[in-house]
Amino acid sequence: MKNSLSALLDAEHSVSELDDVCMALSDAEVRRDWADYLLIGEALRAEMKLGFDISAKVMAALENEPTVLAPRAVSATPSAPQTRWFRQVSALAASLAGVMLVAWVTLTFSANEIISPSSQTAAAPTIQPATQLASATSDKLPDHLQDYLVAHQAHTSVGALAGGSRNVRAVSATRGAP
Amino acid sequence: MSDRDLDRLLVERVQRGDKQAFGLLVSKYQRKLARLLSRMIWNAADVEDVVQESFIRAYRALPNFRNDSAFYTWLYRIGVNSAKDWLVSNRARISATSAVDIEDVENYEIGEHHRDNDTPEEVLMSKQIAATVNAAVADLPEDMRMAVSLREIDGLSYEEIAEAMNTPVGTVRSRIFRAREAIALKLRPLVNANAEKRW
Repeated sequence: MKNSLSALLDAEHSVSELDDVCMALSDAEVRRDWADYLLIGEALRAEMKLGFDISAKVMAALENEPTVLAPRAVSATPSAPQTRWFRQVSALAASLAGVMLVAWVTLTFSANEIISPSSQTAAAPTIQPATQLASATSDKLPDHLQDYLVAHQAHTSVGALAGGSRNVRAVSATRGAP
Repeated sequence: MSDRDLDRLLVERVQRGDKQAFGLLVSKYQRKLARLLSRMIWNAADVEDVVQESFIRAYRALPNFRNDSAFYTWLYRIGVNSAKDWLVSNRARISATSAVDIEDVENYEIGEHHRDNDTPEEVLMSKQIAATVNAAVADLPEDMRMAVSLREIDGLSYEEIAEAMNTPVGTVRSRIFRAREAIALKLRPLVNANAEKRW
């Protein structure tokens, strides 16, 4: 134990030696040796106040103090390269997934709206949005009504979620017009 | 491992509830802190009180210590602040008994003034300890004397001493330990007089 204590004083100890010494601190002889070795060093360096020792008073005063229990400090060292790489790839994947979701929603609505007028009438026998009806029956309408419907498609409820797809539909409807 | 690393390990142990580990730090730094604070506070008994207060404050604040600075630097700051508080709260007594200018306390620079404020008993004790240690070192075999001197006076690591003495590190470690034990054997009768002060 004394050998470990001497090495600990010089910070030349092993991990287990620190544990061993701290476990043995209830032994007054271990504490005395630690104090003696410290004092020898200070005397050799010709430092002052060699007779000063209040360790007993301090430790007695600390008896009344609640035991310190602190959460482990978060390491201030930078994260490992592997972790950094994982974080960067995760961020990229999340961004890509977001873009793909928006694209899928947009394209799904656009695709539904670009379907040709004849197929829309066949596939949707019941309720149809006003614009689709207008497109499906465009060949039966007079020209001035056809122009009116095309001009007002942007105000129909169908295109509300489609965003930019309203313009796509308007163009296709215009193309379909004679 | 450096001295600072050792302090960090001891602090971490205290932060995990090992109160005894704090005793190692108290023993290690009490005289260093007393030497520092005796430059600010004239009376030796007052220095003792302020050093004790500093350690208690440090212990209470230890959960907030994050090892961003060395433990001693942190303790030094607590010690200086404790001394300033003490000087302010004892303004009347100090102005009546000493030449300390309380108004300058906040601007106090450590090292500006050095006071030898030890009592005659403390001075005598210091001299006796130094004489005993030096006599014990002189009686050591050459290899042990050199090893302990290179370590304690020159601050060399075991590896550096091993290189200087052309000896294995294990031998250096053993020589330093045996030297300390031989010196301590001669020192103990003297310091045992102060045994009640020791932790």
